[in-house]
Amino acid sequence: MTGTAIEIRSLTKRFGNFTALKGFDLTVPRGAIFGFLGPNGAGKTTTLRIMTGLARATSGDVVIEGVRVGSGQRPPIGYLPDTPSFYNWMTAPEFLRYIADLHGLADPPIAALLERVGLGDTGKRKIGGYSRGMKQRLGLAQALLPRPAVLLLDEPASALDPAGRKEVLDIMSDLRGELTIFFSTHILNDAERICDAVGILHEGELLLQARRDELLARFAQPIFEIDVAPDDAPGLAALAEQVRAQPWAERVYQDGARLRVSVRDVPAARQALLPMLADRAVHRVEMVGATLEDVFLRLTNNKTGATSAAERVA
Amino acid sequence: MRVFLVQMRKELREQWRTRKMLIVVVVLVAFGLMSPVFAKITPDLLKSLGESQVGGVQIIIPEPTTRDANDQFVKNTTQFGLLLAVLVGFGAIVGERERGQLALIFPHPLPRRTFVLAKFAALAILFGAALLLGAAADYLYTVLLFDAPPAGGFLAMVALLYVWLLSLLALTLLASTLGRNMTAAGGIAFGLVLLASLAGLITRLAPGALTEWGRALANGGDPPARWGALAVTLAITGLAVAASVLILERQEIE
Ligand SMILES: Nc1ncnc2c1ncn2[C@@H]1O[C@H](COP(=O)(O)OP(=O)(O)OP(=O)(O)O)[C@@H](O)[C@H]1O
Ligand SMILES: [Mg+2]
Repeated sequence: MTGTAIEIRSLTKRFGNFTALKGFDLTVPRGAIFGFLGPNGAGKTTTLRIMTGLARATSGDVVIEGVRVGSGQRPPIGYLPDTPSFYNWMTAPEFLRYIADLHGLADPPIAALLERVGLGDTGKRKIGGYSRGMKQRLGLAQALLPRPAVLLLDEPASALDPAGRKEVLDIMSDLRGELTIFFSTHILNDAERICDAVGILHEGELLLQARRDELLARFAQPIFEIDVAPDDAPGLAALAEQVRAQPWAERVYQDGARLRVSVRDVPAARQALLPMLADRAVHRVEMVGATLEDVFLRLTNNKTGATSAAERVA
Repeated sequence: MRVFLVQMRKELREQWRTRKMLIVVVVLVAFGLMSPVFAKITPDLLKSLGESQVGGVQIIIPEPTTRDANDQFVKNTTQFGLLLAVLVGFGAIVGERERGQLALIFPHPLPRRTFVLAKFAALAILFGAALLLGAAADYLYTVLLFDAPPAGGFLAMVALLYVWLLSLLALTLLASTLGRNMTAAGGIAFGLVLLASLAGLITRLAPGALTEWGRALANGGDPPARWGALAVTLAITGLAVAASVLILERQEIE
């Protein structure tokens, strides 16, 4: 599987005066699991709605497997909206049969597909009585049914509990190599677990697109992780302030009883940091590699910082 | 054509499973049955009321005839047909859009034009079948209680009522495409249908003229033909369906 599955060229979408997508380009190689990352309101759903033909671009093009969206020809896609809504009076096999009939599939593998997404034993239950997670998995099944070359998923796991999330991510991971998966998420952990490549969207602009390992390497910045005893967590804020003031500290995040400090100068940090921890109930200090979350926060925060600085000047 | 049939099957099954089919058929058949019965007992009712009045005026009430049964049938079927058309039809498209079902099915190979045409066809089949059953019930009871109406005139009346109903269904479907939400669609549907009815007050070309024409034909008269109204009604139907298609094709689906 080589070549390009998805090509987005200067995609722009305006809603009245508001520009939701600001003319970005994006290329997804065939066979990749591509994570389309961005905070709430970044424009992920808008992009997916244009890719599926549900909405129209103000300008720019989307080409999927060589077919331009909106050209009258239908690209070979399967789509799962962020909150799929079914016909409540149908059963899962009935719904899949209906979708198969729309595609003119003679012998659709409905039972096998339901088995694959973990809905093998729902029998005659109406979809109206399904849980959120079951609907999400049925949504995945209807998207996969016509064996599309490209699977487009909008936040496929975001609304699910950890167990449901793992199930959906595992199904996606199992599909690796069978087709191209393009999925949006704001949960970096999910992207980190299964993606080959990511694009980061922020306020309608693509901040960056890269293979995941390249990205982590490029932004690799040593990070010190400090875990303190839970009852010492309140004091951690003061420590965070103290560390933030140091010249060798790039950024500092506190997450409960954990402090993450990305550093510019490792030797200096090592020398200065340990004494600062002297009278803390420290459980662990470790130097770790950057995660997608670090990259993401760095990029999007810089961006917001830059914008507000510009606004101040203006 | 294949996709159209798939889609129509889905629509008809939906009508069945969500009881819409039952409601429309039961209401139209019930009023078909009751129309001749009402015609028969109305004079007796009036008489009993009159007798209870002390020193009341002497009211002369003519014996009811087939003509009264026909009048009742047209009156009931138009009133309840209109109500059912709007109530069953106004959510047809806006409901699926609002609930997000369209976002799930339109990325599959289902042209929006086919979607609208199948919706209209399924509603036309439902109301056609219900109207036929209601008319059969009415005919049966009319024959039992009075004399049989002229068969040709009676059939012509049913056909004209159907054409009239189709125009209401098409206008309701248009409202369902135009409305941003269920409430708006319901408002627009009643507005359009009301407008079509009011137009009957100022012109003989309005759809309402068809129901009058049909009634006169079933009564065995030789009323003036309303070909103009027939052409206008068919045109309204076609244009409303075409407009629904064009509008839905341009809409962005959330
Ligand atoms: N139909 C619309 N009309 C007006 N503005 C819209 C419309 N759809 C989206 N927007 C705006 O466009 C921006 C991008 O929205 P979008 O839903 O694409 O974001 P998202 O990245 O999917 O966010 P989330 O993570 O919350 O799902 C938002 O500011 C949103 O308010
Ligand atoms: Mg979204």
